[in-house]
Formats: sequence, structure tokens, C-alpha cells
Amino acid sequence: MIARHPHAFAAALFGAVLLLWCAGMALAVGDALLPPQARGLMVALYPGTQSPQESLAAVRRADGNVVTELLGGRAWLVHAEDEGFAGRLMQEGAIGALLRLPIALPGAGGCLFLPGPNTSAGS
Amino acid sequence: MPSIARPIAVVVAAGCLISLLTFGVRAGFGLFLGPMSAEMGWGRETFALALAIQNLLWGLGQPFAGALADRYGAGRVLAGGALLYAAGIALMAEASSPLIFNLSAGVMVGLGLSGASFSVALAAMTRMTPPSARGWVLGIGTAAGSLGQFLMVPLGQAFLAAYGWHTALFILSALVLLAVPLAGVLRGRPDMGTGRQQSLGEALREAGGHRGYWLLLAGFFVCGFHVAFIQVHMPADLVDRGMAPTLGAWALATVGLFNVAGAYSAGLMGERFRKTGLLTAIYASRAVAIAAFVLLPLSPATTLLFSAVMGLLWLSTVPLTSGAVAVIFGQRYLGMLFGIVFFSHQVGAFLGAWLGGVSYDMTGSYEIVWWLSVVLGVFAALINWPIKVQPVVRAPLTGAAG
Repeated sequence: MIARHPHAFAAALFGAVLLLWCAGMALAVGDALLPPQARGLMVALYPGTQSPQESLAAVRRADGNVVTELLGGRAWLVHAEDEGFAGRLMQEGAIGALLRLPIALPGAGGCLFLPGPNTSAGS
Repeated sequence: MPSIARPIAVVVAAGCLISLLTFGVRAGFGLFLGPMSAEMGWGRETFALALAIQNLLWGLGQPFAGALADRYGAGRVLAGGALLYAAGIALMAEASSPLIFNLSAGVMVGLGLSGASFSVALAAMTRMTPPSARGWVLGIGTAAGSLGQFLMVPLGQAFLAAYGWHTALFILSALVLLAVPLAGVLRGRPDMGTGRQQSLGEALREAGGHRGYWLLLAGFFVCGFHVAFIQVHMPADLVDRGMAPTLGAWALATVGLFNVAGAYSAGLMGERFRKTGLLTAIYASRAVAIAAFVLLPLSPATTLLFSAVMGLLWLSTVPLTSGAVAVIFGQRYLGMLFGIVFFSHQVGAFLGAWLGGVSYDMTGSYEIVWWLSVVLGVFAALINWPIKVQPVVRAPLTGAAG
């Protein structure tokens, strides 16, 4: 197969890796979701179809204080001390509320890779 | 034991997965800095020192790991390296003092990385594939390492968020352990032939007396300088020049994404065109891109365009440089000879990261080092051009095999 279709082999190999990666991410992100009664500092994730303004309005409706914008407005680091904050965020349209931002931007591949705060999306 | 013929698809898949796992997992270590430092009550310098030791030993150990792979077989060295690497990560999770942390995250992971590195895997993969496919093999192997770095940072952070740093480290350790059975596919030593073979000392003397080898070494030094300087300092430079802090992260992500395509394409082009001619084009293009980035008005669009161009030129030097070493000196001592070239890369990387900081502290900007990067790019382009990529002519070796 390689001799005749090397690029198809590369695409299949990297595609399989991406599928495994998606499965691992889905599992870990699922495990990182906070229960509805959670409160305090958390990350609220919103659908990609929603504009940053709509997401911000949803955070406000849930009585949350915005700490910072993440992932171009698709996620917000938010804070509220009263119990049930995570549940309110989800009632107002968030996909989920997470303890920390589980989606760091991938970094540049290089031989001296020392990722620090720059590799996470503003967290 | 001579190399055993195995299906190329299996060899390539195993080599790529080893590169992806071992090169990728270390990319996420920086994510543990904050939570570990906070919980253990260590200063951030403890973590930084361990990562510095790790990078130093990785570079220093590379020629020795390559020589061991050339002598005893890549499979054993890759498996041993992966075991040490995985044990180092597991011990990181249990480290109760800075000393133990430096020994685990620094010494064990650094030396483990030398053995389980992509350069040992690349050398083994090229030995086990026909010459006509070697450029492609080098390209896909390098691209796999790049993809690993691209994917492992978000995955590492997801583990961190879901399970905490302690468990996340054990999961990463288990991922590295997957390289051990994969290394079995790459077992076997280079074909020793029937007559007397060139000794390790003779190979070193031959390479040391070859002008092209020194020029490749110098060129790869520049590669390391560029890569480390941009990775470490560009995000801060963008903020200094009025850009949003998140742009730096997006810029590095863009570099990482285009890097996969660049490394793969470079391997393919190395089959069709003169490798050192391509290296000249890559280093010259880097110089032009950096000069344009410094001279043109800065905006998010120009930053991302610069990042995309640099991504295409990022690790594209690896398949071409390692391929040139393989053509000139043959496969027998490729692991060691490319390991030495890689060490030169790490020295360049160290200087790129360090001089960026020194320059900023002294002048308040990175402008001097940006321009130094342009000059070094032109220098690397010029020195690669005259290198003749053709096998060295050896006098017939006489004497007993061994």
C-alpha cells in the first residue's frame, strides 16, 4: 500500500491518531465537568455557533462575574460564590462548566519545547 | 543479529507512533508548573531547573544513544529509553523534594528521551525501508513527532483538569510505556555485511574530517536558535508591541499546525531535489520571513501569516538534514552521527532562548535578536548550498569482521 499510496497511508495513520485523541479528550473533558451545585471559579463553555456577545450575556444572566475571555469568546473564566452556579450556567446555555480550562492551545512543535502560560488560551 | 524484514507499513506506523508519543508527552510538562509548584510549595525555579536539566541531558545523551542503537540495535535503545522516560514521569508524581524532582523530571526523563527520541526512531525506520522511500519515511516520522507535540498539550491539560496533576502524570507515564512494545518492531541492528566494518572511531574521524558534516552541524545550530527564540520570546514580544496576550498562543498553535505539513512535505521534496539546496531555500526563506515580520506593520493577520510560513519551515529541516547525513555517511552510524548534529541543534536552541532574554534585559526589546536571526538564516542558507550530498568514497576496509 505504501509504495502506491504513501499519502493515503499517512492520512489513515494520522486520522486514526486523531480519532484516538478525540476519544481521549472526550473522556477527560467529560470527567472534568462540574456538578450543577458547584460554585466558585470555573470555565463556562459555549457552543461554537454562539457569538461571544451572546455567551457573555448568558454568563450575566446566570449571575456570574467574568474573569477573562477564553478561546475567542467560546469559553469564559467566570466566578460566583453562591451554590448552584454551574447549574445556572448550563440552564442559560453553557455546554458545560469545568474546574479549569481543559483545552489549551496546542503549541509549536520544536526541539526545545518549554510551554508555559503562553500555551494555554489565556487561562 | 541482522535486521529482520518486516512489512514497511508496520515499521513506519510503529516508528511514527513512538515519535508521536515520546516527542509529544514532554510538550505538556510546562502545564504542570503551576499546580505542582503551588501544591509542593516549591519556587518556579525548581521546575525550570528540572526542565533545563532535561533538555541539556536530552541533547548530550543523543549521540551516545545513537551510538548504542547503532551497536546494539534501535529496538533495545528505544525500549530502554521509554522505560526510563516513563519511570521518570511516574517518579515526578511522587517527588517529595526538589532533589528527587530534578532526578526524575530532569535526569531520568532527559536521558530517557535521548534513548526514546525521534532521531533514533528515524534512523531505525530509514534502515528498514528501501532507499526510494527514505525521504518519505523521514518526512512522515518528523511530521508524527510534530503532530504529537500539537496534540499532547491539550490532552495533557484535559487530564490535568479531570484528574489532577498526580494522576495526570501517571497517565502520561502509561502513554510513554506504549512505546516499549512498539520498539520491538524496530529491533535489529544495521546490516553488518560480511567484511570488516567501519568502526565507531573511524566513523567519527571520517565525519570530523568531512567539511559538509561540519556545515550541516552549523546549519542545524541555526535551526535550533530560530525555533527556541521564536517559541520562548515571540508571545512576550507580541504583547510588548501592543497585541493581545492570546495572539501569542494562537501564533504558536499556527506554527505547530503548519509544522506537520511542512515536515511531511520536506521529506517528500528531499527525494526529488538536492537536500542541501532545499535547506538553503528553507533558511533563506526564514531570513526573509523574519525580516518582513520585523519591518512590516504588526497586526494579528501579519502575525498569523508569519506563523504559518514559519510553521512550514519549522521542522522541515529535520528530514533533509538527517537524510543528507544518511546519504553521505550511510546507515551504519546514522544514529550517532545525526545525534551529534542534533546536539548542535540543542546548543543553538539554548542560545536562542537565553540570548533573547539577555537582549531584552539589556535593551528593552527583542529587535537585536530578531535581526541576529535574519543574519543567521542567511549564514545557514549560504553554508548549506555548497554541501555535496553524495556518499563518501572509502578505501576498502581490510581485516577481520568486527
